Amino acid sequence: MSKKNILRFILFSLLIFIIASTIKCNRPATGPVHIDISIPPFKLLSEYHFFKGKPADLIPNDRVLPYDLITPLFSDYASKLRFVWMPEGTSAVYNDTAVFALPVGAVLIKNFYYPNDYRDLSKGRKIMETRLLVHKQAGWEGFPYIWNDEQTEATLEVAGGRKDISWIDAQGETQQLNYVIPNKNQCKGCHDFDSKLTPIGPKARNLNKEFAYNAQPENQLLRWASAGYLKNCPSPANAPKVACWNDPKTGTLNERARAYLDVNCAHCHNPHGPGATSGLFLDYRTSDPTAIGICKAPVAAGRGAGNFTYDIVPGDPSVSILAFRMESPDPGIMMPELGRKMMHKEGVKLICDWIASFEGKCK
Amino acid sequence: MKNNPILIVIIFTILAVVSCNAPKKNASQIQKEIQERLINAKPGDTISFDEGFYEFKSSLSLDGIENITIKGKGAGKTILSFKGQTEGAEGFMVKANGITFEDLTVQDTKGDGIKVQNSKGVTFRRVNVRWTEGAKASNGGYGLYPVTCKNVLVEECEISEASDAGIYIGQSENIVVRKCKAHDNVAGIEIENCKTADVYENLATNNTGGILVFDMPEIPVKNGQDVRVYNNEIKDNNHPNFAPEGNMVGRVPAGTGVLVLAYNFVEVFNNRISNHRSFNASIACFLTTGKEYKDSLYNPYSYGISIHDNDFSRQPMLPDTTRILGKILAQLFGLNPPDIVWDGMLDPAVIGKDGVVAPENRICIKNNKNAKFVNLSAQTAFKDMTFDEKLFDCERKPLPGAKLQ
Repeated sequence: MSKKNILRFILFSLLIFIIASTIKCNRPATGPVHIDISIPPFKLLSEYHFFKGKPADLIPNDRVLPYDLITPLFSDYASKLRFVWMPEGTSAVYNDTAVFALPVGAVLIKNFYYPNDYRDLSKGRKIMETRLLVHKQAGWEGFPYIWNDEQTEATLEVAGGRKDISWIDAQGETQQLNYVIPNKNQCKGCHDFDSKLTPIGPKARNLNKEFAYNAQPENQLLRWASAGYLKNCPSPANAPKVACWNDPKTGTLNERARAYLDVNCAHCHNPHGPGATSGLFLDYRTSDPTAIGICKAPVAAGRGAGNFTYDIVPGDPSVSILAFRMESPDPGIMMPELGRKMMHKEGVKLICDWIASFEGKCK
Repeated sequence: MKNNPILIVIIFTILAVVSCNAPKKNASQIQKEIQERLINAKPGDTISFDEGFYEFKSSLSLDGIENITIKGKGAGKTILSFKGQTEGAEGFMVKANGITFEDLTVQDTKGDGIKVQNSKGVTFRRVNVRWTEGAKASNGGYGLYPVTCKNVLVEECEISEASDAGIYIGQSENIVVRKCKAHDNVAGIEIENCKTADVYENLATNNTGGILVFDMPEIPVKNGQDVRVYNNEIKDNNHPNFAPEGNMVGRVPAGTGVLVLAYNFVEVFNNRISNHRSFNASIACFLTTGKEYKDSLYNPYSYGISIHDNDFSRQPMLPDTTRILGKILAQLFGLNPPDIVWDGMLDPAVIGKDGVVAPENRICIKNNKNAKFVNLSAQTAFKDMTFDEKLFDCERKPLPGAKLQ
C-alpha cells in the first residue's frame, strides 16, 4: 500500500472507532453487578448490570434476587417486578415486625410496568420506570430511572417526569393515564421513618410467601436465607404472614383490610412517619380504635375532610373521610398523597366493606 | 462565495433574530429545572426566581438540605402559580432545617400553599399566598403551614382566601408571627397545639375568625401553652364561614375576633379588636364545641388566660346563627353580645382547696377599654351567668415569650 493509502486507512479506522464507541447499542451486560456507593448514581440503568440479555426482559443477573409481596402497594394498576441485591458477604438480619435492615451497599430495584393487555400477558408490556433504593454509607438514597419508548434503556431523572400510557385492563376496558414518575425528594415522601429514608417492602410478614424462582416455587424467606441475604430466619411457619388483601381465603375482612391499610397508608400514617402529625395510625399494630380513625375528627385535613366529620363512621363508609380521600382524584384531597392518580376501585371496596362492618355510633 | 458584505450582514441579522426568538422554556421544563435545583442544591444555596409568572403543575419539594433560601424579586413581582395543579397536594413541601422563603407569591395550590414539616429554623418573609378566584371551599386549606417545627418566624406576609387558616402553625415550638396581613380566610392566623408563640403587630380583617389559639385532642403533640397575642389590629372578621364542613374551623361562627380554645397560659393584650358579629374575644373549653374526643392525655380546658389593656368596640350586630356558638349568643343577647365571652368552664384540677385558683391559672380580665364581659356559666346551662368582672380582676406574671434565633 502506498503511504497515502496507509494514512487514509488509519484515519478511516480511527473515524470508525470513534463513531462506534459513541453509538449506543444494545450491549448485553458483561460481568457481574457493578455499583460503587461512593460515587454519584449512574446515568443509565444498564451501567449497573442488574439485568442480563435484552434490558427490557429484566432477566436478573447473578445474585440479583427477585421477590414479591403478599399485599402490595397500589400504584395506578401498574405491575411491579422487584429485586434485591447485596454485596458479597453481607446480609440482613431477620426480625418479625419491622422492615429488614439491609446492609450498607444493598440495592432494592423496583420496576413499574403495564402489560399491554391484562387479559393476555403474552401481548407484551411497557416498562415505565425503575426505582432504585441504594444503601449508601450515610444512609439510603432513592434514584428514579425513566425508560425510553423504545424500551432499550432507562435514564436517571432526579426531577422525575410524566409519560402517557394506555393499556387494556382485566375487564377489557382501555385505560389511559398521564403516569407520573416521582422525583428524588418524593421518595422520602413515603420512605420516611423518623425522618430517615427507609425501605418499606421487605418485611417478614409481607415476604412470607412462595415465589416461582424456577419451575419450583420456594418460600421467599427460605430463599433469602439460602442466598445468604437473611440471617437468623425462622421457618416460615414460625414467621408472621399478612393476609392477601384480595384473597378471602387468607384472612378475615378485618385482617385483609388492615393488611391493605398497612401497605398503602401506614408508611406515612404511623407514629414515626410523615403522617404522624395527624394522630391517625393505620399500621397493623395499632389497635386503639380512635387512633385507627373510628369517630376521630381530622386534625389538619383541610378540604380533605370533605363535608364529613369523622375519619371512620362505624357502619357508614359514605360519610367516612377515610373512604372519601381514597376515592378522590383531587390532588388536594386524595390519599395517598403521592404515587397514585387513579382510584383503586377494588381497594376502596375492601375498605368500604370493612367500615360497613363496624358497629357502634359516633356522637 | 464572493466577498459580499451585504450578504454577511443579512446572515448575521438572521442569526441574531433567530437566537432572540429561541423558544421560551415551557412550564414542564421550568418545573423540571426548579425541582432539579432543589434536589441538587448544596447547603446554604439560594434558589432565585426572577420577576415573572411561573406555572407549575406539580408540587415542588425540598428535603434534607440545610439553610436553603428560596427567593423572588418581590411578592408583587415573582408569582408562582399552581393553577391546574395535577400532582402533589402542596405548592412547596419542605423538610429541611434553616429554610427561608422570601419575596414571592404562591397562588392557587390545590392544597396548602407552603408546608414545612419537622424542620428547625423556618422563616417566611414577605411571602404572599392567595387563591385568585375568591374565598371558596375548594381552595387549599392553609396558606403557610409549618408543622412540628421549631424556631419559626413569619413576618410581613400577606395570606388570603385559605379555606382553613391563612397562617397556620401546628404542633411547633418557639414561634413569631408578626407584621402580617391575613384577610378573607376562614381563620386568619391560627396557633394550634404549639408551645411558646408570639403573635404581634398583625392585621387580621375580613376573615371568619381573626386569630385563633386552639388546642386539639387526638394528635401527637398535645396541650399547647404560652401564647402572646398583642399589638394586633383585629377587625371586621365577619366573613361567612366557607370551610368544608368536616373541619373544626368550620364550627367557628362568622364574626369571631380572637378565640382561645382549650389552651393554657395565653395573654391577649394591647390589641384593637372591633366589629365582630359574634364575639370580639372568647375563651372556651373544648367541651363547649359539642365534639366528642377520646384522648386521655388531653386537657380540654382553657386556664391561665389573661385578656388586658385591649381596645374593644362594636356596633349592634346579630351573631352568626348558622353556627351553634353564634346561635347561643343570639338567643341570649340578640344584637349585643358582650365583647369578651367566657363559657365558664374551669378545669376542676386547678381549683384548689376552698375554691382558690392559683394566680397563674386564673382567667384575668383587666383594663380593657369599652369591653362588656360575660361568664356564660355553660356548665349550669347559663343559670349562673354573670356579667360581674370583679372576680376576674387579676394579673398574671407576664409570659416570657418566644426568642428569635
